[in-house]
Amino acid sequence: MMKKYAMPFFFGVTAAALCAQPAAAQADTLARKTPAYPNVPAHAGRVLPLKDTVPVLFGQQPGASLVQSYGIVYGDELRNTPVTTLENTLYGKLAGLYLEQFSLNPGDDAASASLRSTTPLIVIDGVPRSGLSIDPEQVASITILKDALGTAMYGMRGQNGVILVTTRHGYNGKKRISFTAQTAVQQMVKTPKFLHAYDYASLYNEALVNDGRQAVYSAADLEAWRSGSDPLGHPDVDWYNTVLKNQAGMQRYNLNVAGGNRISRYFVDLDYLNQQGYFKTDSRNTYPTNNFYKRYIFRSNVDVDLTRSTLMNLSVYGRIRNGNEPGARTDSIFKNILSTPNNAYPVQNFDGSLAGNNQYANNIYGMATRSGYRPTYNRNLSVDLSLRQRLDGLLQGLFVKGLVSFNSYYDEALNRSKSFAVYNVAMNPGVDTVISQIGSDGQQSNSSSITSQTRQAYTELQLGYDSTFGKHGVSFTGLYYRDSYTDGNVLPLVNSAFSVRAAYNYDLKYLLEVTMAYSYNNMYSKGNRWGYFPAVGLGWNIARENWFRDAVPAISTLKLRGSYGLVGNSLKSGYYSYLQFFNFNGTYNLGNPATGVSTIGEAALANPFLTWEKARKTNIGLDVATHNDKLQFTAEYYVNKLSDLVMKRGTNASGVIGATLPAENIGRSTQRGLELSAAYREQAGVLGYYVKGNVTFARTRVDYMDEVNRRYSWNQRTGQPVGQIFGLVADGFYQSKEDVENSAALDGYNPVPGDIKYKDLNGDGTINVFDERAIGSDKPLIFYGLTAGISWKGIDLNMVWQGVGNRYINLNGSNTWEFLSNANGAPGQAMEHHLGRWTPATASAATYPRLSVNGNVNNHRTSTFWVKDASYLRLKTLELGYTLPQHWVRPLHLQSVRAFASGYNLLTFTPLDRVDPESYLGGYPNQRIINFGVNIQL
Amino acid sequence: MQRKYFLYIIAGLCTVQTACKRTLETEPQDRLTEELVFDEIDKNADNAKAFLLGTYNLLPAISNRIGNTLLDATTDDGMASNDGDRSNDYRLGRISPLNVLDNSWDNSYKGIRQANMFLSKIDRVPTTDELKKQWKAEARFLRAFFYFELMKRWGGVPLVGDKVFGFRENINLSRNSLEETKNYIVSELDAVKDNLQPNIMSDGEVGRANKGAALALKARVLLYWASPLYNEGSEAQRWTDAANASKDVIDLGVYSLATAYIDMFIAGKSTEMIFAKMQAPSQTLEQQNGPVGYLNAAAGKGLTSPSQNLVDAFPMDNGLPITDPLSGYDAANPYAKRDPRLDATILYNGKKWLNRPVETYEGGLDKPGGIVTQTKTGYYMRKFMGKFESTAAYANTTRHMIHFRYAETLLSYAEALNEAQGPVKAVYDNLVLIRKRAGIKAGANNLYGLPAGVTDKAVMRKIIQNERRIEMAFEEQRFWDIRRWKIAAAVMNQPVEGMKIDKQANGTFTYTRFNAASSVFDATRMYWYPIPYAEIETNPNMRQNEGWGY
Repeated sequence: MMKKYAMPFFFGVTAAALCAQPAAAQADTLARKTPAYPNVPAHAGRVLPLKDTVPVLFGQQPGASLVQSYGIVYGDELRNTPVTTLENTLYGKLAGLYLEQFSLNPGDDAASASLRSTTPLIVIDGVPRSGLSIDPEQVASITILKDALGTAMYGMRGQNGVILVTTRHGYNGKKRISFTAQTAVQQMVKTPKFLHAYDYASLYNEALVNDGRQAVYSAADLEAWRSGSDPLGHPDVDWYNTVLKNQAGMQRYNLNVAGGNRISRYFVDLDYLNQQGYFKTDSRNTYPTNNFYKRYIFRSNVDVDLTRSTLMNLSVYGRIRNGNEPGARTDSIFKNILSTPNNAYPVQNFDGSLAGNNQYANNIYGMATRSGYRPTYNRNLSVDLSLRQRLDGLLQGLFVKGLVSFNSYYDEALNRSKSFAVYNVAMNPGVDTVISQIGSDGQQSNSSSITSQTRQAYTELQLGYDSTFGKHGVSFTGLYYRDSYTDGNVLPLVNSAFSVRAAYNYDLKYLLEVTMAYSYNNMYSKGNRWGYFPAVGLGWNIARENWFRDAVPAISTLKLRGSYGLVGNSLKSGYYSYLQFFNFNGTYNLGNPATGVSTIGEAALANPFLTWEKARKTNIGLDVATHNDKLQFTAEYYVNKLSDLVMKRGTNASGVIGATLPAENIGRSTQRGLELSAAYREQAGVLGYYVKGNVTFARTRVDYMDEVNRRYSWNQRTGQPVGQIFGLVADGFYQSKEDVENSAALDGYNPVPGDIKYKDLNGDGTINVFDERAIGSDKPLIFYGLTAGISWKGIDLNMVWQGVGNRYINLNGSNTWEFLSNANGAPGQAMEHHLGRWTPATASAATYPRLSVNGNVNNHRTSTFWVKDASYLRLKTLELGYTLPQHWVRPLHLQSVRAFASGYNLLTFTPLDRVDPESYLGGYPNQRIINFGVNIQL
Repeated sequence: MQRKYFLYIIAGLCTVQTACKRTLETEPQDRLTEELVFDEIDKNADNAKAFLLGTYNLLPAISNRIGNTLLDATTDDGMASNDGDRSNDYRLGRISPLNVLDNSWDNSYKGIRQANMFLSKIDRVPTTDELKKQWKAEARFLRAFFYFELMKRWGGVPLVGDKVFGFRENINLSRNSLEETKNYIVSELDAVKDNLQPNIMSDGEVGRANKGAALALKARVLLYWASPLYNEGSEAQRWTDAANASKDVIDLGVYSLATAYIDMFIAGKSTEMIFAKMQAPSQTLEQQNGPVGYLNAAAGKGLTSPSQNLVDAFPMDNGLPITDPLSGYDAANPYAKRDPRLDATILYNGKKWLNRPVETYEGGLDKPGGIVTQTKTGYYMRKFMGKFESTAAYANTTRHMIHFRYAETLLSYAEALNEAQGPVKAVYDNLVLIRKRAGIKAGANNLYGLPAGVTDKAVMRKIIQNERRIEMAFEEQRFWDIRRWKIAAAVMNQPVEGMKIDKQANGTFTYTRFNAASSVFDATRMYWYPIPYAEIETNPNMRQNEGWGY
């Protein structure tokens, strides 16, 4: 009996390949039936895939029987956002998934995802993998798994939730070739508004006088800047526009082919992306200095039925990412722009040499064009091979499958930078002009370094069973997986688990599901490496009760479901942190002549008791579908109780111990939230439309953190949201000397009128750390999204709105404050919002404290003055498309031709007046993208 | 057929699995563990030695470590050139439990822990008993040194003895008294001084703590203990003890003043150097403190501005203070015929440096005005720098951070003896030694400008204090001296003066004194540092020093 099925089975399919006909293939089937005009995207306007199967961990489940908490979007909902990274296509699309973009540098601009207030694990085709940078054309669907039931099979990797990406596969049918070409223009949004030299110098003089010092710029200097009569001696350089272009291009080309027959099916995808940066270039350079990011992606997913019951899947994925930046580095140039006033030096001297001086020794134009270049090369290869053997002869619905996946990641950086000299020209009337050189024109370096090199070997062996007896539906999955991940030359991190899922339903009316894992991590001390994580879920589809059906026939689904379980987080295990290590430290120079001898010191203390963090997660959900499933609604309420959180203790932590205390399992916190989603779609002849919205309320609370002894209740972090900003409460500006005298004093600072006044919370007459309290908002973070589309004949229009509420950011640093010293101690830049500073004359209208140089210990303290409401609403994506009538394209032997125009970050509404709510520190700016493209299918 | 495949692949998989397990270790063997550091089979004890040197490496260095300048630039000897430099927090009264500049609390206890760990483990290592005895003595010396670092800042601190705490142990210790702390340091030094290396060491061993280092540290501790801040009851015996401790160093008979004052700071070793934090050759100090008017390899940031007050403290080359009508001081030519130590300590207008005269007159190359960070007083610091008077650029210079040198021993001895016995001959003799080496002219009475026949110890005290100030300028003595002498309230509440120098059309200069900075010193609390608030809020047994509030 076994012989017949004794084909090798320990290689299996990926999660997506598990289904005989993947979700994407179904979508394709739908698409191929397309009549004269395209409908709205097959999955748009749905939040409950009731008739589809949903990819879940280690398999898939029918949407109708799901008990766990999840959210899903399909590839065709992502493709109309013209961005480089997959993360950024998800804005506003899924309840519970919060995105925020911290870095915007080309090639490094993926938004950071937070799923129910934690950073989720990213799983691509069933294998946890680092990095999501794949193109949306490959994506069949993205599922987010939110509760313990959904992730307990990952055991101590399951606590943070999962973003599960499933790629497209071929199908049994006519081959379809799709080609898309797009070209886009990127534009900066909300660039800083720097002061012209005259205003700058006037304000600097004012700030010096405010600080009790002499003004340095004479009336003649100011007049020279005002009139612009002496551009070399009194320069006024708009550095932003001197080194940055207004816009930069981006192109993308994608070709994919899908099809197959009964024996084998294939999906092949090629994608090319070229994103340019904003730096101006010098035509004399024979090499590129501007940023660019070029990405080449290849994927081939092939499914072959080796026998009638044996399915083999081979997925090969390759990615090359080549980047470039000026030798002086992108971040450094933006930093210099923020710290270089318009009057610092001219771009070039009278003789064409780069200008500069001892205080501002980096000519920014030189940094952008004469500092060489730094290419980066990144290569990725993933190969997944799986075999799935049905064992129906043994038991109807039984199968085994095996999967091996190998992933390698290689990141290399070349340094071809060089130093350059700048020249200071001192024009002394009546004396010789003195030209002095600062720095030197160095030779171009040429060195290569491996920034990152990782390899991952993943193996999985699974036994599954799925069957229905009358009204009883039963499924079972048992598996073992081992995931070995090696980063450079350290020993591999090994995660493994024995996992089980068992589900039972009666007539899809009563649903029961149990998942569990016995999971392992090799970084914990021996005897503490295995943990057990169970979860259970129950569901009741009331709409399938006869009495309900009779009473309310319009409601086809009314599912009440709940889950509870334990999951863990082993990410903070450290590197063998249970072992006490010693480090080689710096050298000590013993002897005469001094000879360096390496020395040894104790590393941070080991903690042999360290274990994984734990979360007990409760989730209650309600799914409703009415009007033939056209109107759908789902609500989730969750409470996650986190414990054993890894942190440093606050008490009994005296420095007298003489060593760095280890991280310990100390903290407890709670995450709770409410997620609501609703969707409606309609297709009536040539008119189709859909609308889909979601809103999430998420809050966190620190329950315990072994906090230091705080003197006052308002100083306490315990009980506040995780990561709550603390600071002083600003109370306007001191308006007069009397005002200063009648207010609380500050430690070592004598305030003057125009300084920020703070509230003395403890009433001790002194402003200090005891007057700091939680500032910003302690209300739940609210984020929401609205996706809507309409199609009429050949025209389609789609848009995504996305917003956040109760979000506060702390504005500080050189993109906010005036005259902060640069690296050489010289004053930095100032901006237009500093014109609203307090002066005796403008006291009542002042929007900014009185100016001072080199920072101000009073005014620059974290306070409600700088912590700003950063709520926003964006028109994230808008796309207008036109599909040519079939009778035009048919004669050309084309299936369809669609032209489209799309935009990204088109509109932003925010109470922040001068910065972008996501890119607010003055680095690489956030961007608006205007994109044009055409898609041809044959 | 299918079965065959099945077996092949099972076999293959097993091979892969087992191979993985055998090719890599299960725990990293490339990292140092306690067993490797204190290796039971390492006859050379290389790693244990490196661990001891790691403790040496925690010794404080004298550098631009406070804000961007030197510790002594927070006294009346100078000031930071940067506006808004954090070192000004001392001057502005911004020191608080939350802002303890020069916070060596954690570093000192780290050193103490490393010494204790060394003491508790070294017996496992199979090196010679003799060497172990010497190393243990060095570890105990270092431990005493770190306690003194704590004591001079905070007074009495928790004494942990030989304990190496585990992370789950209770470390909420209370402070020991100042006297207990002092007694512990002194008793440790007494216990180890004869186990340390003798005072003349081979070149390869220079830098290790030797007997002289232990005696010098003891002398410093007892000198502080006798001083007014510590000696609230004015016990005379303490001065006698301090004098005897310094005399012990002198009586070793191995130290003498180096011939050239200026060379001693840039020497790899000298007969004057008792103990130093050893440094690799560098030019950081020159780059940070050199005048700002030079470019490229001669560029300096001029971060330290010595004060006119300090310049005035230097006598004339005849040894007479500039206030003495007979001294020959010319206010229109203020740097002529001065104590040669002025040249070694200060870069003033007109002094040759890097092949040209320093220009600190208004608008001069080194004081150009405008936004450039530049001297605030008309002076730059010269001390510790290599001899770059006639070179075009800075170069790496050997410069050990000398914690104890023989000149201090002589000054300490003179000070303690004067307090114990009055201005006896030995007081004079030791001051004469210092002044003679400095290059001051002997004078007809061979007193090198010292007033003859002083009988009032208060008069002699002023002379000794001034001599210590100029001899040890910027060596992190003045900062502590004005505290232990309890004169900080007086000297710190007077302005820091600078010299405004204007160049006249005929090339001459006019000199105008001005107040470059004002200071506040709150005598109710600033003589001792505040205990860092991080200690107070984590340890309920930690008592704050008086006056700091929290």
